[in-house]
This record gives sequence, C-alpha cells and structure tokens, in this order.
Amino acid sequence: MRRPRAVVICYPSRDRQGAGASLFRAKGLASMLVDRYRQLLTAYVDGELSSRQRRHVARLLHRSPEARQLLRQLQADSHVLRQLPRPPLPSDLTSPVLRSIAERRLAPGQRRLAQTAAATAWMGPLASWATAAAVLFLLGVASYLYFAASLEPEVKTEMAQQQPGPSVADLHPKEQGTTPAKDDKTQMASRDQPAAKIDRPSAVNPPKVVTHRGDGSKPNAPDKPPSPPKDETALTDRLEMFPLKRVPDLLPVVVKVSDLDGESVRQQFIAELGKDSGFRLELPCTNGAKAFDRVQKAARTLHIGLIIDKQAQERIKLKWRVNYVLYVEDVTPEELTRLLRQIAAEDRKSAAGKPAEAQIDRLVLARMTARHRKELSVLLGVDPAIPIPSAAGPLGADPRKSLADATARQVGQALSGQGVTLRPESGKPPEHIALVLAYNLVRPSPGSDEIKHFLEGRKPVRAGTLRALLVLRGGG
Amino acid sequence: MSADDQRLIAECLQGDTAAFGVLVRRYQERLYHSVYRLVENAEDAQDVVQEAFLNAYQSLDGFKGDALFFTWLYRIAVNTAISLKRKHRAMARLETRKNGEHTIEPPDPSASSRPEYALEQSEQGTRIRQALSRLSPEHRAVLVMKDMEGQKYETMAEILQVPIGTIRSRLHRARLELRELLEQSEQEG
Repeated sequence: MRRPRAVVICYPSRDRQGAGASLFRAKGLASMLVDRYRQLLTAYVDGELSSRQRRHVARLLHRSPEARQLLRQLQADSHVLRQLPRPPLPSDLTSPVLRSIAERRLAPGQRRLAQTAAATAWMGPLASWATAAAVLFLLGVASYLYFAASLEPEVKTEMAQQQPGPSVADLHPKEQGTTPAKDDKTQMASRDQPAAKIDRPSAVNPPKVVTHRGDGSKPNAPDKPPSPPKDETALTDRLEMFPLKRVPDLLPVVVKVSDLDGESVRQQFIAELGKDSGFRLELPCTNGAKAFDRVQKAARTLHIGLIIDKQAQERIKLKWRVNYVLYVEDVTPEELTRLLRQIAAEDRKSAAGKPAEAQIDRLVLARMTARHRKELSVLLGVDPAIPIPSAAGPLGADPRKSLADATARQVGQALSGQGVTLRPESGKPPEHIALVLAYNLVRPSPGSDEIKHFLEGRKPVRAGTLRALLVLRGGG
Repeated sequence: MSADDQRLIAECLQGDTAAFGVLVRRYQERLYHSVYRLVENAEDAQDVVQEAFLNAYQSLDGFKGDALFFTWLYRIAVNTAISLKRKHRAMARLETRKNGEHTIEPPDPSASSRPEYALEQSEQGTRIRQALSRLSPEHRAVLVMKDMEGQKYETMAEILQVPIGTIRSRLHRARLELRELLEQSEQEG
C-alpha cells in the first residue's frame, strides 16, 4: 500500500514563520498550513512558480482541502484587487508640472547637484572647526618653541633662585667666586641636602647633555664622588625630563615543579620567594578536580588544614573540571616550596604507569601585584593585606564574641558538612590553614561561612613569611 | 526604453521643457492609478505624482536608459508615496494614543476620491479597500504593483531596489495579512 508522501496539515506550533506573521497564528485557515506551503500558494497566485513547483502545488492541492480553500481565497482576494476600478485622473497634470518647473526654475541635473551639496553640507562647519583647531595648535607649538629658544640661561637661573630649596650659589659655587676649598665643602654640604640631587644647567656654560648611568657616575665630573642613582634628573639640551627611578623586577618565573627536587633549582626558587611578601602561583593542569586531589593529599601529608568553601566543595564532589584556588598565609619560602614538591610527588604517585593522568608540570611564579590583591579581595570579600586587628585574647578567643556563638557555629558547620577542615593523619593540629575556593571571579562567594572561618582564624604573620595564592588552572 | 522616450529625454536635457510635458502627458494616468492605491487619497495621489515628475525632471541627467522610463519614474513615485504614507501612519498613531481609541485611517471624503463604480460601492470592494489601507506601505506597494499593475518580481525588485527574495517574502506576507484582515472584517460584519 502506498503511503501519502506529504503531510499537509500542521499545527501552529510547527509554524516557523517570522514575527511579521504573528497575525496568522491565532486563527484562520492560513495558520493551519506550514509556512513553506503557504509560500508556495502565494507564489502560485503571483504566477511566479517554476514548473516543478507548480507540480508540487498540484499535489498539495490534491491532498489538502485546507490548501485548496486557502488558494481559492487568495485568488479571490487578488481578483478583487485587480477588479478595483482605476480612478480617473482628476485633472491633467502637464500644465501644473511645467508651471512648477518654470516657477521654481528647475533644470535637469539640479537635484543631483542639490543632493551633492546636501551630502557635503556637513563638511563646511567641520572644515571651519578643523582649520581653527589647526591654527590654535600651530600657535601653541610656535609659542612654545619661541619661548623655549628665547629663554636665556640667566633667566633660568633667576627662576631657579626663586624656587624653594638650595640656592644657585650652593649649586654653582665656582661661579659665585668662592674658593676651591670652600667649594668642596659647599658641594658636600649641598649633596647632603635632598633637593641638591637635582642637577641644573650652569648659568655661564652652556648646558650639556647628562646621560644617566646605572652606576651613577658622570662622565664630565671624574673628581666628584658618584651621586646616588635614584631621583636623578635627566637633562637634555633644553628640556628637563622626569627623574629616572628604579622599578622592581616583576617578571614572572616559570619553574618545572619536579625540578624543585634539585638543590640548585630549589635554592634559586626559595631565593626568589624571599624577594617579596606575596606571590601568585599559577599551576596549569588538565583537570582541576584531579589536580586538587593531589593538593589535598599533599596538604594532609604536610599537616596543612584545608578550609574548603561550599561552592568549591560542590564542584569537587561533582569532579568538575574547573579552576580552584588555594590561599595560604604565614608560610616561609621553604614551607611553600615543600608543599609544591609534595604536590608534584603526589601527582607522580597518582599518575604512576598512567602518564596521561599527570596533572602537574610547570608553575608560573609572579609577585603579588595590586591587580592580584584586588583579585584576592574579590574572592575573599576583604583585602587580606589589611593588618589583622589584635582582638583575640591571650588564649586565642575573641573576647568580642560569646563562646556560645562560636560553638554553635562550629557545631552547625560540622552538622551541615561545611567548613571542612582536613586534619592530618597523625591527628596533630595543622601547622597551617589554607583556604580553598572555586576560582570564579564572575560569581565569587565572599562572605561565606568558610571564608569567615578562615579570616577569623588568621594570626599576625611572622617576619620573613609570605602569603601565596595558588591557582589550579584546570578548567575544561 | 522606446526610441521616442529617449528622444524626448534628450530634448529635455537640451532645455526643451515642452518635451517633458509630452512625457508627463504620456505617463501621468498610469502613474496616478498606482499611486492612488498606495495613498488612498486623490489629492495626495496628485501631489505625489506631480512631485515625482518634478523630481524626475531634476534627476533626468542621471537616467541612464538601462530600464524603462516608466519603471524609473514609477520608482520615484512609489518611494515618494511610501514616504508620505509613513508620515501619515506616524501621525495616525499619535492621534490614536492621544484619544485612547483605536482608529482606522478614515476613507477620503472628497468626491473626487470616490469614483462611482459598482465594485467600489459593493461591500466586497469597500472591505478590501479598508483592508488594503491597513497594510504597511511596503506591503501595500507590492500588492498594488503585482495585482493592479501586473508587474513581475524582477521589475518590482528593480523599482523598490530590493532583492527578488524580499519581494517574494513581502508579497507572501502581504497576501496572508490581507487575508487575515478580510477574515476579521467578515467576522465583525
């Protein structure tokens, strides 16, 4: 038995027509056919179908009474439109048109010219403004060059004399007729004053280009002791430039974590950690959840307690391949290095015989910049750089809070499974507490119970220790 | 383009306005019919046609003769009519909001705009005129061009300066929208 090939009748829910056809969805015959068939029917009424499409319409009409009815209606509408009377022109327009041409003095091509003029009309004011701006700019440049060139060294000296700080006599004793012996004393005295570090051009001799050197020595003053390098002003022939300053080397360091087992690399790494009090470590891994598993094991081995934020707990439980962050304070460079080495060791253990399971390879060590601190503030809800108020009493209890409150909170956290603190296997209290968060800067969870718990348990940092933000970059 | 049209245009460009008068006389009736169905008002239709001729005269040197002169003229007229209808629709919307009532564009009361034809007087004719007047200017234009002028998709695309696919879809929507409006009108009546 042959089955019908085309399904003609359809429901409005299958209608994929655009928003402009919303009128037809509510009711009416048109809404009962899919849009493709309706397009065929309207094009059929227009007489703009190919022979193949016409055959398709014929089949459609043969099978669907709705299509037949809609086509009849569309054809009737078109017929009525065609039959609408053609209203006669009330009056001949020839004379009015020619009169208008004469009165308005129109000419062929005038409209195009007018359009061009309209299109470029906006350029007039713009050109005026541009010209005015250019003239002002040139005047400014010319004035600057004129005054810069015409300003005599004497005037500059007078200006320098009017400025507060050491006098010109202090700066140029020879020119004021002082003796050489007194000269040296004056020079030494002037060097002792902070403002005297600024070199100024001589009032008599033409100014020379002074090149700043890293060692602070000056090529034209071999007898003079080298001046301190910082806050030195660089002088060009005419213009006084901003003082050059040394900036700390903030370039990150890339280290293969397993190389930390080597003595020399380890010592270099520890030395690097000793250069600052805050670091951000980026640990790229293929699976954040698996990498965190290594961190957990390493922390347990090294007696580091982990406070895991609820959001992070959920992700770990579901083994989500997301990024995690571990924040720890008051650790020495050696302790942090030991943790990293242990993480690498746990990774090797977990990936033994399965190289694809290895998560830890290299890490990027960078000093904690203002941007990193801001990032940390977003995650924690507070700036950890702010000193901890010494509210806790001698026994570590906060006298501002009742013991009942603290106990109730801890019991509640224990019952709800929050605030997981992993105790080391030995049962000893943890040497350090680290906070684990999901690394989600878009939807952070500052102010969570776990973060509060961590922040409340913070202690004033010891000298020589640092804070570290370890990012496990293992998002899928 | 016919050779006669070409000759007349050349004369116009040489400054002979009388030659343009011949072109006006030749095409004004046909142009008026189409424009009248677009604006549904005799006075507006006359104004649109007159303005279209004046615009055409001023742009005559830009006419390259690639298409029929009437097609070119018709394009100018249709665009002028659509612009006029858009303005009217905007004003009608403002009035509707002001009064808080739904208003349909009122039929032109002037006698000249209501030719005494039997179909025009019939219920069916009145209904379709009202439905047509409620269509958007773009939809109305394609229906008038197709059903009343008998233009092909290709010519319509050239006149409206849109792709043929746009003409096809506009006509499709216009026909279905007209059908829906007529069904509503039948149910209300």
